[in-house]
Amino acid sequence: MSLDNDDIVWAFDGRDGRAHALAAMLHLYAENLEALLPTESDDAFEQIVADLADDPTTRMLGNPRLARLFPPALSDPKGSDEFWRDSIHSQARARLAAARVVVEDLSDWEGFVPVTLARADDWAKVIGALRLFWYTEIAGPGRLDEPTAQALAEDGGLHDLIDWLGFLLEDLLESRQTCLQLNASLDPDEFGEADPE
Amino acid sequence: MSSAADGGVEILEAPAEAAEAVHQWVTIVWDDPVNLMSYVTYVFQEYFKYPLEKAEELMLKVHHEGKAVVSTGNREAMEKDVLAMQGYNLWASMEQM
Repeated sequence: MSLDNDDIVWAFDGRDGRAHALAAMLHLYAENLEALLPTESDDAFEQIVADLADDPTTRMLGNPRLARLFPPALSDPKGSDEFWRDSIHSQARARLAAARVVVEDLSDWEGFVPVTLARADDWAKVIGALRLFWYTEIAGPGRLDEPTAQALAEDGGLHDLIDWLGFLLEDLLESRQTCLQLNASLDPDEFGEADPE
Repeated sequence: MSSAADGGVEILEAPAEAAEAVHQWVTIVWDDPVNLMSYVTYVFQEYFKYPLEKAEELMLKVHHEGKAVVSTGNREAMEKDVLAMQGYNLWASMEQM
């Protein structure tokens, strides 16, 4: 017997404003990603046309937080440009879809937010993305960029935020792995204040 | 090329092997100071379905050597893998072998 997709493998502690903080970060993250997309249309054909007519590469490169999420895929600049041209829209939409999963879970629960096996991967991707997104604020968009002492002195709170997101991610992965190894779901009754809205 | 067997039936010899037409590409994941080692290991297990041992070996290669080849295949397959790795927030690129 193995875990079902609906089995709970982690609980996000959203108490004391943490759920609100995470939701606010997600809102800003989504806003930035949406700027890479053409106006959405309900008509699939119109959407295809709009996507083909729009090249988001310059917008992406002009936003350091986004540039860090879309590293160059090839060493030759022309190849990278083509890769970006063909992939930024779909990548942005995939990121927004994962963010929507987390937003939905946050809005469905107060206190501890149960995360199922099926949705744990989206949570992991999103928390990882938020870490990168905010890290760029204090370090820059380069692969090996690190925060300077001045940046840390000016924005130590942001550094703490990135550390907190790192803790969440490790906790999620560890909890998920433990549940898989023990073949056991977490029990929401043991979360304490978990309460569906 | 052909040769006649005893019965006079012409037998076509097997054609010479076609030159290698498919150029192999690789997906490379690069080290960075942000992504957690546990997360990188998870990504390799989750996406490539590598066993823990191999996922950890690749993660440590990224960590200690700066990069690791995580998959090989034709260009189209490597584009898919690069997009997946980037979707997981890893710094990934592709190269022709």
